Parts: sequence; C-alpha cells; structure tokens
Amino acid sequence: MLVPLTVLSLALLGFQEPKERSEPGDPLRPSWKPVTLHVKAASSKVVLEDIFRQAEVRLTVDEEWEPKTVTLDLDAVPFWKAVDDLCRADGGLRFSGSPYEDEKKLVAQPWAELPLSYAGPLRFSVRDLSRVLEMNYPGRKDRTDVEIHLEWLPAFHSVLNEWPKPGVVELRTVRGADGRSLLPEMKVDRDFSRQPNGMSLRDRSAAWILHVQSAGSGSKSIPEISGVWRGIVLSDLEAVTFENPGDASGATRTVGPFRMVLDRCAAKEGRSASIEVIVKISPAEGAASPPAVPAHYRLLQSIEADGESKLPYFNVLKGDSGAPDGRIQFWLDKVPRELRLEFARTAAVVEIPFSFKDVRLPGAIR
Amino acid sequence: VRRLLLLAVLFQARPVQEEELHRLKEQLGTEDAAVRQRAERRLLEIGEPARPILEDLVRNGDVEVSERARQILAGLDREASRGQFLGRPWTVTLEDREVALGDLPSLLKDQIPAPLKIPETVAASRIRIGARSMEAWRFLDQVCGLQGNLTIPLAQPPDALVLKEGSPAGSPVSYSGQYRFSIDRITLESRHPYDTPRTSASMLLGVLWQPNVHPLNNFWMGRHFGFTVSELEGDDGVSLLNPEKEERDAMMLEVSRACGRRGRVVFRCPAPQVRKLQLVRGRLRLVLPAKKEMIEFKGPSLVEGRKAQAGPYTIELRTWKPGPKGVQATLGFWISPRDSENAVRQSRVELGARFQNETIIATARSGKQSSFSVYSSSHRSAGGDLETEEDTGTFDVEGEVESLRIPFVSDVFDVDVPFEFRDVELP
Repeated sequence: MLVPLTVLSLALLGFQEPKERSEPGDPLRPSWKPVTLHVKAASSKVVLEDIFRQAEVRLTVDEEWEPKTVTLDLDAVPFWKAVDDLCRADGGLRFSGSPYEDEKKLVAQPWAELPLSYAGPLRFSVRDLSRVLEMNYPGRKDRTDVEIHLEWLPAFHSVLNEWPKPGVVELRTVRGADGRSLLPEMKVDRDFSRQPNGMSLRDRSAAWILHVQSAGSGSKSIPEISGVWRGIVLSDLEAVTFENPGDASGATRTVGPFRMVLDRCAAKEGRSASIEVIVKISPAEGAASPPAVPAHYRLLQSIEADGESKLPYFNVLKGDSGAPDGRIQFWLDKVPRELRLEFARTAAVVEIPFSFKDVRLPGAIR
Repeated sequence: VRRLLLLAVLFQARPVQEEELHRLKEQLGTEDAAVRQRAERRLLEIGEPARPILEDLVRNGDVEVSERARQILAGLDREASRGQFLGRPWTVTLEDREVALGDLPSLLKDQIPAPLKIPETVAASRIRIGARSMEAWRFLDQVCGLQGNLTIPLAQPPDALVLKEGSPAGSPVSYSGQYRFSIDRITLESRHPYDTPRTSASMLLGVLWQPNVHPLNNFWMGRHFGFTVSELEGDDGVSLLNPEKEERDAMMLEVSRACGRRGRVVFRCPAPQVRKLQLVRGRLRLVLPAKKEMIEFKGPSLVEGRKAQAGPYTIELRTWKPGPKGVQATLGFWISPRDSENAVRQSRVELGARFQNETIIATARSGKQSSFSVYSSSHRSAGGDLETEEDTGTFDVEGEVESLRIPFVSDVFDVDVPFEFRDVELP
C-alpha cells in the first residue's frame, strides 16, 4: 500500500509529558514503548527487569551492582526516564553514556545528577559544562562549552544527515546567573583535544559541543539551557529483497512513492577483493518531487546480505552536478545469494525541544 | 661530530685564514690526541675551504694522517649532501632607513634567496627599519609589527616566504637559526563531567622553517618529528609539567603543512595566583634526508620481479598490470639484512616517511606524468632488526610507460632545535 509523504517540517512540542506523545501523527511514537510502574520497597533489580520488559529494550548491567530496594511511581514514561528514575532511587547505578564503550551499559557507580531531558526514544543530557579561558592570539576566546549528548533507542533509526551526526542541535535560550543571555554561540578554532563540534557513534548516540559566552567566574550555575534537536524521523519501514543480486542488475522494486533499482553487484576493476553494490533510488513516476526528505536518507543503515548485517554505513554517490543523485554505494566481501535492504516509506523532519534548569558550573579557574 | 656539523650549519663559520689551515694541517699529524681532535673538529667546521689541503694530505701524508684526512673529507661530503636539505640560516643586514614594503623583496634578494611575497595592497606602505645580522624570521616579524596590518601566516608555501594582511598575532615568539617558534594559543579549562572535577591546561606550539629546510614531514614521521617541552614554570617557580613523560611531548598536528607544523602540549593548570609562565623551554626534533636516491625501472612492464638497491634498502617491482584507466603497481621495500647494524639505525624512521611528495613518477611516451599515494604497512621480524614493508598504489598514466622513477630517502640525519619563551602571559 502506498502511504503518501505527509509530515514535513513538523515541530513537535510538549514532549516533556509522555501522554502527549501518543498522539496520532507523532513520528517518534513507533520507536518507543511507555513504561508504567507503581512499586513500593521493591528490589531495584526486579524493577529494572520490568522496565526492560515493558519497553522491550535491554541494557547491559554491571555485574558488580548491588541492588537496593526502591519505591517508584511512573505513568507511561519513556524508557530512558524510567531507567534514570530507577538509578536515582537505587543510588548505586547509572547509565554510562561513555562514547568509548561498545554497548549501552548501566554501571555500578554512585548516581550523579545530570541535567536530563526526554522525548520518546530520545534522551538529552548535559554531560559536561566547561569554563574555558583562552588566549588565542591576537585575541581572547573565553567561553563556556556546553556538551549535549543524545542517546536513542535501537528502534529509532538515526539518519546521519549532518554527517557523521544525526541532525543538528540549536540552542534557543542560555541564560546566565545574572539574567543575561550567553548567546549568540561563539565560533572557535579546532581545540585539538576534543572534536570541536562533538562526536557521533552513528548508530547509538551523538554529542554536540556548543560554545557560548563566558558565564563569569562568580556564577555557580546556568539557570536555563534550552533549544531544539532538528533531525529526520523514519517510519513505515518496508523490506526490499534482491535475490541473486550478482545476476540481477536492473532489477526494480517499488517502495512507497519511490523506485529502487539494483544498478550493480559485482567486483570493481582493480579491487577484486571487494564487491561493489550500487542501488539507485528515485521518486516513482507521478510522486511529489522533490521529496522533503531525499530518497538516500530513507535507506536504513542496516544492510543484510544472506541474513547477516554486513555493513551499517554506505556512501551516497554524487551526480555530475555534484549533488547526491540517489545512488547509494556499499561494499561486500562476496556476492550474496540474497540482499535485503530496509526503506522508510515515510520520513519527517522534526524539531524536538529540550530544556535543562540550573545546570551547575565547574569551579572557577581563577 | 654530528652536533658540531649542525652547529656549523646553524651559525656562520668564523673566517678562515691560510695560516690557520696550515697550522691545522700540521696539527693533524701531532701525537697529542687532544690537539689532533681539536684540529679535526675545526677542519670540519671550516668545511669546503679546507678541502684542497685535506686532499693533498690524502695523497701525500703518512698512512695515519692520510686516513684522518680521508675521514674528514667523508664528513665534508656528507655535509655537502645534507646541505641540500638543511640550508643555512638567512640573516638580514639593512642600514636604518625608511623603505616601501614593496621594495623589500628586491632589497633583500641576496640575503633571503627565496621569493618574499608581500600583498600588493600594502606595497606602497613605508616603514623605518634597520637590522644587523638579524634572523630573517625576526626581521619579518618586525616588518609586520611596524606596518601594523601584516602578519606571518602559519600556512606557508614550500618555496617562498609569505606575509598577509591582518593584525600581527602578537604571540610569544622564539627564533633559532632557520626556525621561528611561536605559542599560538594557551587554554585553561575547568570541567566536571559526571561530577568529577578536573582542570587542564594546554598550549599550541607552532614552528615555521625557511624554505631551504626540507625535513621529512608526513604522516609516517610519528615520534621522529615533534616538540618536547623540558621546562615549564609558572611565575611562582613551580613546574607545570605533567609527571608522565609522554605528556611533555606535543601531539603533532597539521601534517600537510609545507614549511611549518603545530603541536599541542598539555600541562598542569597553574594555581590561580599565577599570571605568567616565566619559562617554557624545549626542543624540536626533526629528521632530514642525508641522501635521496632516484630508483629507476626502465620498461617496467618487462621487468616484474626486478630489484634495485638504495642504501641499505632493496626495492622490488613486484607487479605491474595495465588496467583500463591506468596501471597498478606493487612495490616491495625491505632492508638488506647483510648490514643489520646499519639497518637498525636506518629503520628508526618508517619507510613511508622516506618518500617525498613527488613519490613515484611514471613517464609515458606521450610525455605525461602522474604521481600516486603510497599505502604502507611495516613489519618486524622476531629478531626485531629486519623491517619489511609493502607499498601499493595505482597509476593513472596515458600511453605506454617507459620508465618508473622513485625518489627515495636512503639515509637520514637528526636535528634538535632548541626554543625558549619567557614571561608568557596566561589568560
């Protein structure tokens, strides 16, 4: 069934309250399941298992964790909020959020209160706030660096449209302790110690480092940091299969308002060890053109060859004009018997607000 | 001897008198070892003017004196070869006067023998300046300071000295022969990720060198190219160096720069009352080619498997396959185990660093040339003293290829350049 392209440039507001997130037309809704709990003096381990079961998401839990008893009342909250509330109540567990670990993990460490904000499958946090004094000859670049992390659930399919990160984070309000705004953001050179604009784990999490005006050495906190994450949300997934792709050049599949053509699945001259696959995706005849979310952003980064996820990332080839022309290229070790791709028939550009209150500053340098 | 040779290059040698040469010639034959060694060092320092006397000694001296002269001549040959890659420091002497900036390139062409590029827009600007044996970089900094809207950019071309419009950085600078060091940035930071307070400090050190200095400078240099800070003190006299040795070494950045690099040094955040770094002292390590050889395979399609020798390296053209758009070649490089001591010395610098920018040239009958990048991997044998490496690349050459030419650095030498900054203001 063809589903028309609908939600474009949709601003989704009020995401702090989970009940409002269940509205029809909410593009995030299919990617998370709410958690409801009312427990009194229960084992936090049992409660955590219940959260995993309800949300159908599981995190690795540190074996050294010693569960406590907790009392919790949660009504249809997102998974991340349920986990954070449980960890806070337990006191000896927290989400690691380390960009250097291979898996999402709860570690047996004392709970540390982070500024947090939730929206369906998304968890925003201010992982770090830095006071920076900098002599950058010939001028000064004193500032406050705000590191905002975004975690998402596996059912949320990230689109790395601001490569290598999904979407952009835009600060709308940063209010200093004295009431003055710490915006506009500052432009800084590479600092060579951290990625200057943050980092991305592509399929798990992303972080943005935003440089705002100096908070002043006398300030203890920033009363308000708020803004939006603007990204692409995919839904209505459809699997597209090419059998014996080595002999199927030109095979065509229709997915929603798009047509997918297997252009090539063969060794490339001079690179005999690798199989080059090129898939061309273009709007089907009669479809609205151009789509607000281009075709190449709709192909999920989870390509399966003979039932095995072979390569999570692919290249978008550019046409003669230099613009992406919808041809997607990736490489396999061998020609598979079956190639399976997932494609989102519906895609929306969304703006998700986040807000943090009283974000504590580190100690002054001098 | 090596350090002395470098000193001879870094600083202008004392004038040489005929009578001094004759005295040194006599001293080479003396039985007093200390006198003899001083004479050897001085003859090396004198360099080319001493060559006729040394050649005469090789022909006519007794066996011992002849051998000593032969060794000094070998040192001079080595130095002459190195001179191609490490040119002398340029200095400027200019009578105090008012000059138009546009006239500086012609006024200084004998003293700075590389194009000096000054923006047209400030060519008519006049400054009053004078200099006596002043380092070229220091002179150019003074020109920028006096003009007020000129600066020395860190991105310099490989064959010229360039000034551009802009506020002079005013950053701390240190001059050392052919090199200009600067502190481009100092950052103090206070953070508390996950409630874990931490403070840190760092500086970006920059270096520019004259276009007549040609260090090995690419991705493969690793620890052979970099800053090491040995002393770093706040104005309270307390050392701010991190105790871990590796953090005194700068992480080197910007490998693609032609005549300059930058490095980031991390140090301990100074106490709040510290306002200045009273001392920043260190050195820059460089490796320069001592010998560059051109390896040539003629008619490469006919000579698969042929080997060539460059210093201790054996180079084999393993495959040569014409393709629809070009030619794919596989080259193997390894050190000959027959000279293992030399091999160990030579292998300090990765093979990949020994290729110059014009890495490989294939000449076609059509007259067109092309170059390609080298992809390296190196291995050591269990004994640790044998290095093998295979480099591959794809040519894009039209026409039939007649020859394959590979410029390859078969011998290298080290240079340590000191730098020092005092009273650097902290942010």
